Amino acid sequence: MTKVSRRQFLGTAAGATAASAFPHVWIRPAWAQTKEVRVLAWTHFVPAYDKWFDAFAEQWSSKSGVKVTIDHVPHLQIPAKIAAEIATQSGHDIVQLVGTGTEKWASALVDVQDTADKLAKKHGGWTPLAENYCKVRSDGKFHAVPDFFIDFPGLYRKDLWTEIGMPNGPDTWEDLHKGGQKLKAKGFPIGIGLAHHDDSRASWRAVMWSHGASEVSKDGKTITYNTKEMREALKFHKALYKDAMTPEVLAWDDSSNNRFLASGRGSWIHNPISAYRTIEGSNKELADKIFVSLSPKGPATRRSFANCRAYGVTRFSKNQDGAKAFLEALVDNYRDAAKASTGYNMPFLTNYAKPPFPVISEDPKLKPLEQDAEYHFTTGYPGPLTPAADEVYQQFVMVDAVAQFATDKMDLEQTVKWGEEKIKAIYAKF
Amino acid sequence: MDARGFWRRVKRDYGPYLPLSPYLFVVLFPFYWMVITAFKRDRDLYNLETAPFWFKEPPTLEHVKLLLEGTLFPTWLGNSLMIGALVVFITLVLALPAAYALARMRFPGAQPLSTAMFLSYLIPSTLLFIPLSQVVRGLGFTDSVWALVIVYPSFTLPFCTWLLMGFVRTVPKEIEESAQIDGCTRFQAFRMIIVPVIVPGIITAGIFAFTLTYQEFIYALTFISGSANKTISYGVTSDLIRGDVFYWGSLMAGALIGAIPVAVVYAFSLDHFIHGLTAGALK
Amino acid sequence: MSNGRELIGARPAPVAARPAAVRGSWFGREAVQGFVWIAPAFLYLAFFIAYPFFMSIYLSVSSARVGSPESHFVGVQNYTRLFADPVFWQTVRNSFVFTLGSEAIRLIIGLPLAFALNRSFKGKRIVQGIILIPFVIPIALSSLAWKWMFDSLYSVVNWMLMRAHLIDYPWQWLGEPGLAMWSVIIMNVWRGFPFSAVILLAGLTAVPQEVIEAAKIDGAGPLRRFHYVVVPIVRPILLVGLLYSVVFSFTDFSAVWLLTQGGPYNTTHVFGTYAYNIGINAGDLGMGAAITLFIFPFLALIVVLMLRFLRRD
Repeated sequence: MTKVSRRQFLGTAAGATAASAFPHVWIRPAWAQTKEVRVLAWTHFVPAYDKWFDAFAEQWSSKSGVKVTIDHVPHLQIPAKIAAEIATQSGHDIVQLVGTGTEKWASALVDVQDTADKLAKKHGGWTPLAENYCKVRSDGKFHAVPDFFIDFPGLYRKDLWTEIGMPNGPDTWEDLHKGGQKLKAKGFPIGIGLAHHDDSRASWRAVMWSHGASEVSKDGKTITYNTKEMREALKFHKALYKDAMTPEVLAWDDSSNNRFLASGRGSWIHNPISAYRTIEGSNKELADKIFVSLSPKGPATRRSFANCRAYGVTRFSKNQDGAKAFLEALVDNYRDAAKASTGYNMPFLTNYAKPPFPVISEDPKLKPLEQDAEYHFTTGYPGPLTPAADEVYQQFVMVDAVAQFATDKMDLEQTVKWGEEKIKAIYAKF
Repeated sequence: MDARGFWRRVKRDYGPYLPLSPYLFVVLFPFYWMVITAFKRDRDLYNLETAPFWFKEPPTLEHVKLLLEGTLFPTWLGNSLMIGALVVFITLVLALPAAYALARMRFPGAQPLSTAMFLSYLIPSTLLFIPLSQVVRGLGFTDSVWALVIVYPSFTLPFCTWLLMGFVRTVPKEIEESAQIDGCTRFQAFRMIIVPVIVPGIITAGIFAFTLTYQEFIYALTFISGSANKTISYGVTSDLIRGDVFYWGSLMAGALIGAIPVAVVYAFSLDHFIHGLTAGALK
Repeated sequence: MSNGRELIGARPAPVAARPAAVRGSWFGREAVQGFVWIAPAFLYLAFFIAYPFFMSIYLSVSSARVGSPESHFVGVQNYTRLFADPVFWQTVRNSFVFTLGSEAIRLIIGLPLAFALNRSFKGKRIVQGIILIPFVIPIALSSLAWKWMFDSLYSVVNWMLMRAHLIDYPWQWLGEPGLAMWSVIIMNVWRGFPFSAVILLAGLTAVPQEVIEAAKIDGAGPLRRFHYVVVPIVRPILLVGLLYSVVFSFTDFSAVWLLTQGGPYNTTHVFGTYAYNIGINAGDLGMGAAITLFIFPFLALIVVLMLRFLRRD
């Protein structure tokens, strides 16, 4: 009996010592809690932007007296972090929405209509894309503050395309197909990913919409995967893959097309200008040969995919006002931010959605990008960005479908059936 | 006579290298290639023409510099080692008494509890991490290494207990009984007889626990945000992959530096490890 | 009191009858004592495993989604949806192939290595350290290293194979459906075979030389010696090692995730990665939990089979 109590005594003594040795875990001064704003953001594909962003946060902190800390996390890890934070109802005050819509997290993010309105008033209003991304249909309010979107133009090797008679690069998808075929024969294929990563699902949507097809209709509910236009799009993408690309695209990740272009072998990729900027930094002579063209036009129209960024204020934040103030200041300085991103960030505010654009309008190479705001749409187009559309996007359903079709694993009818069933199963959940 | 003796000695001292060489190649080739990548300039690295196994342009320390100065790598290494040591300690402190009790003492429910202990090892971290984050947050540990210190024993404890149970069973009961006759309490017998005898087992369990902790990724991803609190696995994969750029040179340098200290420890304790496995499994 | 150190090499002897008086003094309290001794461990497990585990079960029968507070009981709906999902069944297949394939190959290549390490030779300690390197590099980092080695453009593996004229075009290690599974297995084998070799080595050292000699004298050939002498002794050690290894592979997440993310088109998805993609990326927590819960019965099945096979006396 003595030994039991001795053990217990030792145990509790150790425990008490341990707990008292680390008070910082348990006690946080009250003032520290309210005067702090923690931001969860992605690591920007253009490192210069993050430098600007961190510096901006510091400046704002000293001016406002509210300490802003930014945690940069690779974009693929953000959903896990947000999920864990919502589950525990604790974590960052501001979370960045990276490509996923606001709707599915509406109940965890505070209504920021007031901030959105202030910004809209100052800067001419929000573009329809911004509203689609941040407005929640159930209450018609903004639950995230739009920041910018990422466009998907074409980056091409002017020297190679000039040789085959298209000095301004391919203007239509069919041009890309024919030109790519010729260039592949010369050893310079084009590259569009067909794997589980962001670029693939963006490019597919560009192809699909340009052919007048979409997986869902304008009402956001009717599945329209089984249509003539979709079959055309699928057939086109398969032909493009077989004739103008090499099988490596099946193993790509978000950095692969950048490296493909940087290796000198790639003649055309579908990517925002981050790839060009990286090459500028490491291989000036190659960079001089790379130019920008609009995302190609299809038989129906010209459409490309906008990967959007917005910031939500979490419901469990202890400093919602500070958070909103910071976001307002941040988006107010959109022009500086866009400049810091070297032209990567595209505008959501109407006043900035027309020329002159910072950086882009000043560089003759990048001038085509001025038109990008007009034809870029996001997940769920032509309908709104619903959680169902978002899940189809997250699960790579359509990319898998076209990949299986392009590699002859399934024929056209099987592919359409497979895709349609999967999409319907997902929509049935909502 | 001398020549024959010489060859016999060579065969004895170096013979195993013949069958060992394919393994050494398979292990060393990626390792060597990682070393080369860590010191190659980017232009040289991302060049389709050059041979990957040697330098075309002179080697550079820039990747290592980026790793050690541009990221918090030394901190992450320190975190991982510290977490590992603490978790091993906690695991052993919890597991030893439990292993002894389950292996030696008779009390109601001992068998089902021992099975439950074993089965809990099969529950994967991918299942638990969301609900577990609520537990962690409820205790007040958010975004700190302490969150990991208290959570990691959840996958080291079941296996180590099970392992130690096997070791405890190897100690002949007579020794304990003679101690008991001499007037020892259970605890004294445990402390002075069992524990010293199963030291190889304790080392084995400790090594397993440390390895599991050092490798862990998903809990670190979930519970840690601030760069200073990251572990090696999570820190390297999050801070050296910036958007769509993989800093391969620094990544490889990180992998190497992260592995070497642990490899050294293993090299020295391998004999104990093997001894421990042998003794512990023979019930 | 002796401390028993001198008995390290002894085998367990048959249990002698205990004097009645002794039995009384320790025995009477065992019922209570036992609980006290296991209490810290089990309290910890109850808190950090049992509770989250039951939470997960609850999640799997609810409509919980990330970010939506209204989740309600939906019975087996998540499970029926899973059963109808062809990707799920592919995941099941992949997980088995991945785990059992890796394990088999590891043992096959680990055995000769164990034999080689069983002898003493110059530089053995260094060799031991080197051989263990793949095992001690954190799996997240070795996955990245292999990802780079299998890169679609710069693969050093392809470079070597093409120079050796073994292949005539660069293989897409992570892009061709069947090949991707092989790549993932290769990586898993590389990082696990040192451990398998160590386990086998432990088994080999456990077989006392006298027993082998005795068997030889009795006229047993190498095969019979192996079957009747070596195997029974090695079995329990194998059990420990295999268990650790199999569980590690079956519940793996970071290896496959970092190499292929489950692609190309789901041909390498294992339970961990598919559950993560559905539960976290797509936000369907209920279904994600359901997928991971499937690990449990399948794994228990494998373990029971292993135990049965390896404990057969």
